[in-house]
Amino acid sequence: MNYIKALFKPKARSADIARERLKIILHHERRSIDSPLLEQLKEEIIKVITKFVEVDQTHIEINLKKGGDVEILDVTVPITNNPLQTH
Amino acid sequence: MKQEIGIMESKAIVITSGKGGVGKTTTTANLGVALALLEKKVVVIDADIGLRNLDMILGLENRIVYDLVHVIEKRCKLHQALIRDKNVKNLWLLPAAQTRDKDDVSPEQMLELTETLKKEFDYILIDSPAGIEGGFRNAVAGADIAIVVTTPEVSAVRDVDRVIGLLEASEKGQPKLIINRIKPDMVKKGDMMDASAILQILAVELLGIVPDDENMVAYTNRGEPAALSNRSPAGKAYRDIALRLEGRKVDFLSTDGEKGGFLRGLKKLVGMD
Repeated sequence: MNYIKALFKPKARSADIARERLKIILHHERRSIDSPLLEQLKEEIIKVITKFVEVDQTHIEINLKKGGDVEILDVTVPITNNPLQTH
Repeated sequence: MKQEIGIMESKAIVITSGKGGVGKTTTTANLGVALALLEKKVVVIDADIGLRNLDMILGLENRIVYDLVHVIEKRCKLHQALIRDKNVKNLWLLPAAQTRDKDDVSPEQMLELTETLKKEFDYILIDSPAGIEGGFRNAVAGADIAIVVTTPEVSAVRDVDRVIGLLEASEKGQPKLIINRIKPDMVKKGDMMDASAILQILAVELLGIVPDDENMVAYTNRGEPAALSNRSPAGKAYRDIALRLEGRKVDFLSTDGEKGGFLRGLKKLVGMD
């Protein structure tokens, strides 16, 4: 029934699209100004992963978290096309 | 001496944006005119060394003898370089050098210049060049507060966000925002971001909304700033901004046709409601 839903979905106004795009890109850019090394790390991780699988770049999350005594690098990468076989 | 008489402290304000062409120079010129019309003594400084512009907007381009770099290099007295506006008696211009470049001036020299000017003027408006490099840093150096200008387009908003970050990091405090060239018809059709969308993204205080005014080119052609005209919507917006800088509460331009709703929402956002 998705195609019927799509017919009735109002065409998004360009101003709303602009607003959403800006929110995403500025959220990303503001964080990268605070921690340039982390940004570099992110870029290299994404480069390596995209050699093997196709990913959704806009939803990649790479964060440093505190986990007890250690810091944890938490990496979440949504895969859109997975040629790696998992059983 | 100014300090003995004055109740209000002199303010040095830099007008900047990141992106070029969004209206910094037009804003500086018109705000200067508007403040001078309120009987304030105002000097506008063109800090875009090598690319003089402020003089043409004010129609003073034929009166330049000395400029900012001459003053800083002490090759002339400050008063020899200041040009009185031809329309508004309280307004002076300190033009940019045209044949030099931005490396010929340092932030320390700009600060010294504005400190000197504060003894004589109520407002010092510094027209910043585009970008975030040396010219921008020079323009910001002498300022107490910053006004950032954007248009409702994605590139301009993105660039101004970066500039806001730099200004906050440089301890100039949070800048105030002017949104320039809003077209209410396009906003209504959903083809242009409205002021509240931009404010949600940038999260700074709104100082003014200037509507797109098709007569602006004609004003520039004549060298007669819009703020002098009673018929210009942009001119009125600049005069409102001047009033707000002077502490008066003035309603913002309605840009979506639903006057009450938009204004109420906007007032809430800027803490006026």
